Parts: sequence; C-alpha cells; structure tokens
Amino acid sequence: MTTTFEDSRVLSVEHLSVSFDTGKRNTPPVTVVRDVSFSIGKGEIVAIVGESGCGKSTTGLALLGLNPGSNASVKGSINLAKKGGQTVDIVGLRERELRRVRGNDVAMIFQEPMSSLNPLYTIGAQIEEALSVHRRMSSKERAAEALRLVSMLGIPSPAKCLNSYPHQLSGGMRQRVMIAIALSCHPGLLIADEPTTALDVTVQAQIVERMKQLQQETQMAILFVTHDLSLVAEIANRALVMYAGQIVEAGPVSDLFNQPLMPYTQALMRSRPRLGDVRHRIKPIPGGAPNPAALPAGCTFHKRCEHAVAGRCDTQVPSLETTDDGLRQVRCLRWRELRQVPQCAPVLQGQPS
Amino acid sequence: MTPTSTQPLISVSHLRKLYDIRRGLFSKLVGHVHAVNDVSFDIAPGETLGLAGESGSGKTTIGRSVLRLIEPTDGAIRFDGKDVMALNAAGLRDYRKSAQIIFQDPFASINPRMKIRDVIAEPLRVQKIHATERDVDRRVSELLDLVSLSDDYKDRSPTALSGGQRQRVVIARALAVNPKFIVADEPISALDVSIQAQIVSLLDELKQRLGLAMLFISHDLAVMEYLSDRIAVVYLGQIMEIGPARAITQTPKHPYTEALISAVPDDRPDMRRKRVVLQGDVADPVSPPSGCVFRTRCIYAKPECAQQRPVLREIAPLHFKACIRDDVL
Repeated sequence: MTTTFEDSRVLSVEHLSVSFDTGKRNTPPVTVVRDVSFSIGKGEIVAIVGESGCGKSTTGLALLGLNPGSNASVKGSINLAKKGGQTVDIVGLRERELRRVRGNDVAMIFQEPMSSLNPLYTIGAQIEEALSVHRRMSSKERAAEALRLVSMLGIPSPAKCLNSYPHQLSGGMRQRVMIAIALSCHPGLLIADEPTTALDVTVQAQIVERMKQLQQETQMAILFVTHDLSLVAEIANRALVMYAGQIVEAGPVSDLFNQPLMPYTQALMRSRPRLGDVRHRIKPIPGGAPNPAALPAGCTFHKRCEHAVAGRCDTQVPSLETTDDGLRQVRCLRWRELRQVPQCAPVLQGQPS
Repeated sequence: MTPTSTQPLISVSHLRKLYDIRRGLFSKLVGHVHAVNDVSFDIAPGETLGLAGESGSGKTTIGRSVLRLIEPTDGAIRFDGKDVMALNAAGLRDYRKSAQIIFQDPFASINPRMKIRDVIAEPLRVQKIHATERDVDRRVSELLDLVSLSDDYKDRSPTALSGGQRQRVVIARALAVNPKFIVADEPISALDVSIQAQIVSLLDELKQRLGLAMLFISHDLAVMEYLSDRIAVVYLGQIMEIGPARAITQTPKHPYTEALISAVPDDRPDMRRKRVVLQGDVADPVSPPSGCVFRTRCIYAKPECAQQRPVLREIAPLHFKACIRDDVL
C-alpha cells in the first residue's frame, strides 16, 4: 500500500501509545506515552519539552521503531514520508524494513555522544559505515563524502578528525561527528534527543547555531527533544509540552512563551531564574512528577497545580482542546477562564514546597 | 586579593593545584596538569560567591581544595583567621565543623545501606556534638524540618527517595554541625527542572536564615546570578573576572565572560543578546597558552596578549578583570 502526504508533512503521528510490560504477574503494563498525536512539516523544527519520565524520549525512540520489542507495545500510527514521496507506517514495520528507513529517511542523535560511538573504530570508518549502508558509492567517494560532512560541521582539521578515535575528541566534537553521521544520508527528519545536555553552554551554543544553519541549508525537519525551555525558544518553531505521557500544550514557540495557556507550562516558566531578571523570584512547582503506574484521577497535573479546583480537576479528565485560531492546543479544564487572569500578575516570593 | 567590606570569613590566596602526569615503566614525571593556577578570593560571612566556568576549568578542584579534600600544591587558605593549610588531622576534623560540602550527585553521595536518620546523624556522631542519642535524634528531626522533609523520612532507606528528596537529605547532613561555610558543588545539575527550583529556593532560604557563607559552583549562570552576591569566572584554572553578580551578568568586562553569558539560551525571544560564539575548545591544561590563557579563543586577542599573563585589576568597585584590553568591553 503506497500513500503520500498531500501537504508538506514529513511526519504524522496519530494516537501513539507506548506501554511497557513490568514483568510482574498481576501488574498491568505501564503506559508511558498516552495517545500522542502531532505532525511535523518539511523544514520545521519542533521541540518536545518535559521533565524526565514524561515520555518525551520514548516518543522520539518510537519514531525509529527503537522501543525494545519484547516488553513494549506500541499502538497508533507513525506515518513518515520516504525519499520517493510515499509514506510508511513505522508501527508494525518489520526489522528489515525498519533498517532501510533508519538513517536514510529518519536519523537520530543522542544525549551522550561517547556511548553512541564505537570506541574501537576511527571516526572516518563510522561515518563511512552509514554511507555504505544507504548510499551507493565507491570507497573513494565515501572517503571524500566523509571529509565533506566533517568539514560542514565546522570541525577544525577535518582530515585529522577522520583518523581519530572517539576518545581523542572532546564532547562537542563527538556530538558534531554524531550529527555528521546522522546527516550523511540526507534524512528528511532528524530526531535530536537532548543533544546538548551533556555539553557546556559555550559548546551548546556552537552546536545549536550549526544545527540551525544546516537545517536552513538542507530544509530537513528536526524533532528536538529537551527539558530546557530556554533552548526551545532559541531553536524551535513549534513546541509540544509533555506531562505524564501526554501532550498538555502545543503551539508556535512565540505564543507559547508570551502567553502559556496550560498551568504546567506557566509553572515551569516561573520556576526558572532568568539571566538579568533579578526581580523575577522563582516559584517552584511543589511535589514531583506522578508515577506512570499510578496516575492521579482527573487532570494528571491537578495535585501540583495552583489553579486546581476540587470536585472538578480531580475528577474530570481534560481533553486536548484547540484554540479558536486553530494554532494552539491545551489540555486544561480551566484554560478559558484562566486566560482572563493577567499573565505576569504578582509573582510571589518563592517558597519551598 | 579582593577586598570585601567586612573581615573575610575565608580567604584564599595564590592557590595552585598541579596534577602529575607519569608515563612508562618507572612512572617518569612527564608533565603537569595545571588544574588551578594562582587563584585568590575572599568570602565574607554570610556571603555567596559563585564560581562559574566550563567543565575542566578547575571549579571543583578549587572548591575541594578550600576544604582540603584535595591537597593544594601551593597557596594559603585562611578561615576565620586560622591557617587551614597548617592543620593536622585533628585540626581538620575541627575545621569541618565550620566548613561543609554539598555534592553534585545525590545518588552517589549517600550510602544506600544507611537509614536517613544515620546519614544525617553521622557528622553529629563523628564530631561528638551531642552527649546522648536522644539529643542526636532531636537534632535530626530539626534538620529534616529545616529542609522540609517530614519526620517519618528518618527510618526510610535512601533508595526509596527521589533525587530531590535525596538532595534535601544531603543538605541536612551538611548543615548538621551548624557550619558557617558551605561549598555547594553543582548541587542542582543532577536534578529535574521542577525539582531544581525547589532546591534553589531551599538554598536561598537557608543561607538567609542561617547566615551561611557559600561557595556556589555551577555551570548554570541564571541560577548563579540568582543565588550569588558575587561571581568569579574561571577559565583554565585562573580567575578571568570577579565582581558583583549583577555586574558580571549585565555588564561583563572580560571577553570570556561576555562569551559565556551570551551562550546562555533565553526564552524571551525579544530579549536576545548579541551572541559571541566561541570557536574551538578549552585549551590543553597540560601546556596552557602563554600570556593570557584565553587568547587562543578570544575574538579581541592582540599579539601583546601572548606576552604576559594579565593580572586582576580593579575596574569598578569590587569588580576585577584579568585582561589587558579596556577598549573593547
């Protein structure tokens, strides 16, 4: 069955759920991604933000069919545009077919570049490996292409880098190599899972600048998974905020930061000090993220939410509603009434929970 | 070096730490890693000094040297008028009643086999602060309350606690002996975003309530600005700039500080700063560049910068920088 997207989407995820078998008898599987739907257009940078355990990485991995097979069950559909234009549903694809898609149509970079690179092979060999799997090239062409990719990422003395082993490079250089491998087969979509979290801010700035520049040149789409809200504002066009396995807010980055609609997003923003803003007293969110095996009834955020109303937020399950302009989505029972409240109203003195 | 208005609680001068590099069958000394190279600063009672810099800049080595958890190669450390470098084992134990540390990773700094009660009581027992176990127990309750944990955490095992709760226990343990000074070495970087805010608020409250002086080590400049009175920016084991927190973040005077601040992502799209993207990586601490160590990555470097190491000069009250150029920032 061959289908194509009628618009310029490269990815369309519908009703994605991922659950893991706990391995214990009489315990139901734990669902860590619950009914997630979103799409990414060509050349768009979309960020998934959330705290650890919210399901953001699991979502990213599912897009490559990387959830461990035996105890994970993936439901829903993940339609990805392939190079020829047809789409393919990643869910239910066999390993052999998946291998043809991975690296070629969708590639991924991970948080810790040292553990993603093989310590026993040179950088050059590892870049050429990706090329030999997906692109028909002579060994000479491969070597030239590897050199081109490494230079493109702004690595000083690229020829020397190709002959180096991963341990001889710094963290920033390793992450550049990972990006070079990911880009080697011109994928339509790049998934970047916390690619700069293990790096220093100065190196992070270098990598982010380079990714933005490459994205503009190649028009590839990027799904950027991160916990860092400020980084989202720097890099993404659109953001999805996840909490307890669900999307709780989505929209263009400028709207999201100027007027967050979901109390969780608002609380996250208020809990961070901002450089140069000394009047901004931070206000921590009380408590911790809920256990996915025992989610609270009603809205999953109500126990930590300052706007929660008893008898409503703790019983009624909010659905993901779309705003009138059709650009944003929010999962909150009270978002319409809360929107009337002026946003940056008296920011209270920070109190520990 | 840096004068503060009051008598300093802790005063570090010309601190150096070299690590030997040995190679071969007979472990021949082939060089040194210059982890900390001639660092001086003061901290006043109740003051928080932030220590900012990239990984490998020597922040942690400075923090641990001050407590003599690492033996400095050279330099003088005075605490409350006492010479810390001259202390023997008994003297050091006494010193640790006044100076404590909070480590980065709360999963590595608590013994998982001990009950929370014993984790917090350990320094009290080591220092023989209380005569009876009942007094120890009362103090443990007090400390748990101080870090906003309920009393029933006493008999729990650390494995049952989340990262944020563990870090509260680590803070309670550090505060057990009623120290005047705390080294907080990246206390929030192992924690989740919403939990970071809780710990930052807790530290902020505690240092005000208890009048603690603190050396706050972090790579998160926004949090550092929030918690610190003054900030020292370290690069390759040397202080590049030191001054009042706001001055450092708002009007940095050293090219490295400028680059570091401009690399921090900002979530206010309309408030973007001019971005100076540093080229390359931190230079090799085994053979640091001649003259100014930052010159190899500095966009303002001139030939003179290779000549001699710039000294810290006062450019505004309490604000010092180690850079020969005054015409650029």
